[in-house]
Amino acid sequence: MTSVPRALRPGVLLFPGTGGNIRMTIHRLDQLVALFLILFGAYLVWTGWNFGFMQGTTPGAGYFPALAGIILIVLSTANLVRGLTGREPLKARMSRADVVKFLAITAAMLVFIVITPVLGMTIATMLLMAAIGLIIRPSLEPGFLARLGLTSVLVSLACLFIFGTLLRVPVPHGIFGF
Amino acid sequence: MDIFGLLIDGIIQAMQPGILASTMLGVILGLLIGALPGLGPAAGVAIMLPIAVTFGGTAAIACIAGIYYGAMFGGAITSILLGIPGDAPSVMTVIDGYPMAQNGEAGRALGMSVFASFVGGLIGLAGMVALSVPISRWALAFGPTELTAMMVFSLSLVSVLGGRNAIKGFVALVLGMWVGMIGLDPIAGPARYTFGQMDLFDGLDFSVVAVGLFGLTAMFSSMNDTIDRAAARFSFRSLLPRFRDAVASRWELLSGSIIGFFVGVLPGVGATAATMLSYATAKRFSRRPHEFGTGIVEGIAAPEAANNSASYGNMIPLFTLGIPGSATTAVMMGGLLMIGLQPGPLLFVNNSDFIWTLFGSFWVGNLALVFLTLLLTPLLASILYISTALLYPAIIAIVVFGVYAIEFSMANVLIAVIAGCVGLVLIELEYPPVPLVLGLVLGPMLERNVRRTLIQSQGDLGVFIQHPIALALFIATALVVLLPLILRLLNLRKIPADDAEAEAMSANNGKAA
Repeated sequence: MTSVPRALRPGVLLFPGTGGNIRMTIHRLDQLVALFLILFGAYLVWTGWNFGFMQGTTPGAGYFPALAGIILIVLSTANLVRGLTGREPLKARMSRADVVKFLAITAAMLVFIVITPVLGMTIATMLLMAAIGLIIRPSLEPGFLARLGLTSVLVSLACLFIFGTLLRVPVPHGIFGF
Repeated sequence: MDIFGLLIDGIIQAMQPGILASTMLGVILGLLIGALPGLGPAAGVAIMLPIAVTFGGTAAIACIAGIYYGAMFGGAITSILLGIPGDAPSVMTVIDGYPMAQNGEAGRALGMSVFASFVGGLIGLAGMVALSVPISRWALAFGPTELTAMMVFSLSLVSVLGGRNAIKGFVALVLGMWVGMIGLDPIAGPARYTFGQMDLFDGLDFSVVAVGLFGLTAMFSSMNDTIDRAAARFSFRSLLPRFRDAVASRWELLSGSIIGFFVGVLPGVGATAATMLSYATAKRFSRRPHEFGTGIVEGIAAPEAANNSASYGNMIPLFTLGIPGSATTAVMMGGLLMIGLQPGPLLFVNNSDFIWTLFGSFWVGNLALVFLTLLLTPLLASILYISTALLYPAIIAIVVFGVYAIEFSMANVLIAVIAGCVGLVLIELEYPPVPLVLGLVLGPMLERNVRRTLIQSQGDLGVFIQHPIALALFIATALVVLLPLILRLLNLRKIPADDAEAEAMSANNGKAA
C-alpha cells in the first residue's frame, strides 16, 4: 500500500474527509444510521396514519406501523444522542480492504442477477464464483487460478444437477442452452 | 401411551431410510459448519433451509436440527487443534483444549470433547423429552392474551439480553417487525410497503431474509479468515475417550449439562453464556481450580457438555410454545412454517407422530455424532485449510441456487443480497441480529393476536391484563425492559450473555449461535 499515492488509496476515495480513518467512519456511520432510522420512523408514522390507525374502536392496518414508527423515533434519537456524545464504544472490525471486498462482492452478485437471464444460471454462477474468488484473493498465481476455475465449473455443474435434475427446479437457461 | 413408549416409537420411526439419511446429512454438515471458523450454526441452518425443506416433513427438520446440534460437536475441533473457536459456544473450550494440544495431548482433548458433547446431549435430550410434554399441556390452557403476553415477554428478553446495547436490540426488534408487515394486511386487507411490487404482496419469504442476514453476512465479515498456524498432531487411537478421564470429570459433565440445559431454555441467553457459566462453576467448585486454564480435561468437559445440552434446551420454547429464543431456533421455526406446521402446544396434539419421530432423530443423531466426529476429525482438520477464496464462492453458489429454488424467482436472490448487506452494516454497528429475526418471525403473529383481541374487546386494552398469567408476564416484561437501567443504578456487571456473546462474536466476526 505504501507504493500507492495516498489520494488514490481506496479508503481515502471511499471515505472522503476522514483521511481514510475507518474508526472515525464507524461512529459517523452509526450516527447516520440512527438519523436515517429517525426519519424512517417518521415515515412509518405517516404511512401508518394513511393506512388507518384506528377504525372506530378497533385498530386498523396502520396501528402497528405507526406504533413501530414512534418506537423507532424515540429509540433512534437515544442512539443518536449516545453517538454524538461519544458514549457508544464501537470497534471497526472490518479494515478498509475488507469494506472494498464486500462492496465488490455485492456488485458481482448484482451483476449476476442481471446476466442470469442472458447467460443462464449455471454459466452466470461459474462467473460469479470466479469473480468472488478473485475478489477475496486477488492473485494471478497459476495454481490458485486453476483451482478456482475447476471449483467454479464443478460446483456450478453440481448445483445444476442437484437443483435442476434431482429437485426439478426450473433453473434459468440462457443463450447457451443451460 | 407414556412418554418413554412414545420416544421408543419415535426412535424406530427415525430409523426410516429417508429420515435417517437427512439426519446424517444434517449432522455431518453441522460438524463441518461448527469446525469452520467463518460460519456458525445459525448461518448453516439458514443456508441449508431452502434445500432442506424440499425433503419435506420430518426429514427437513431433522436435517436442519442436525446442523444445529452437530455444530456443537464440530466447534471443539478448531478450538483444540488451532486455538481458534469454531463457533461462539466453543470459545471456552479453547482455554484448556488448546494448551492440552500444545502439550501433545490433542487426541485426549478431542476425545473428551466428543464424550462430553455426547453426555451433554443425552442429558439435554432427556430434559427436553421430560419437560416438553408437561409444558405443552400447560400451554394448551393459554388463551390468545396469555400467548400474546408470552411473545411480548420473550421478545423483550431477547432484545435486552441479546447484545451489549439494549436500545439497539429493541431497534433491531422493531425493524424485524416492520419487515414482517410487508405485504397484504391479513385483517384489513390493504397492501403495506409493497411499493407497487407484485412480488411483495405475499410479504418477504422468511428463509430468504434469514439466508442473507446470517449466511451472507457471516461470509462477508469473515472473508479473510485464513488459518495461518499448523494444527496440533494427534493419532486416531488417542481420540478414543478414556474411562479414567470420564470418571475424573464426572461432576463437570453433570454440572455442565444441567447448567447448559436450564440456561439454554431461557430465550435470548444463548449457548455461549451457558458454556461460560458452566466453566466458571466447574472452576469454582473444583479441588484444583488453579489448574483450570493450563490444560486439564475438566476444563473441556464442562463447556462441551453445556453447549450440547443448551442446544436441546433451546428448542423447548420453540416446540412447546412456538416461541424461538435464539437465531438458530428462529430459523428452524421458519422451516416448520414452510413445511406447513405451526410450532406450539398443538404440535404435540395434532402432529404427535412428527414431534416424536423428530425427537427420535435427535437421539439417533447424537449417538451417530460420536462415531462421525471421531472418524471425520482428520478430514475436517484438513478442510479447515481450504482458502475462503475457494470455499465461500462454493457456498454462495449453493445459496443462490437454494434461494432461487424457493419461488423460482431472482427477486429473492436480490432480497437475500440486500439482507446480507443490511445485516453486515447492522452487525458492524452492533445491532444484534437475533431480535431482528425474532421480530420478523413473531411480529406478524403478535400483530394478528393483538388486533383480533382488540376487535373482539372493541378496543378495550384492559382485556390483556384480566388474566393473571398474562398480567404477570406483562409485569415481567416491564421489569426486563427496565433491567439495564436497574443494573446500572445498582452498579452491577452486565449479564454474561452481553459481553460474552459480544466478545465471542467480535472474535468470530458476528456469528450467531
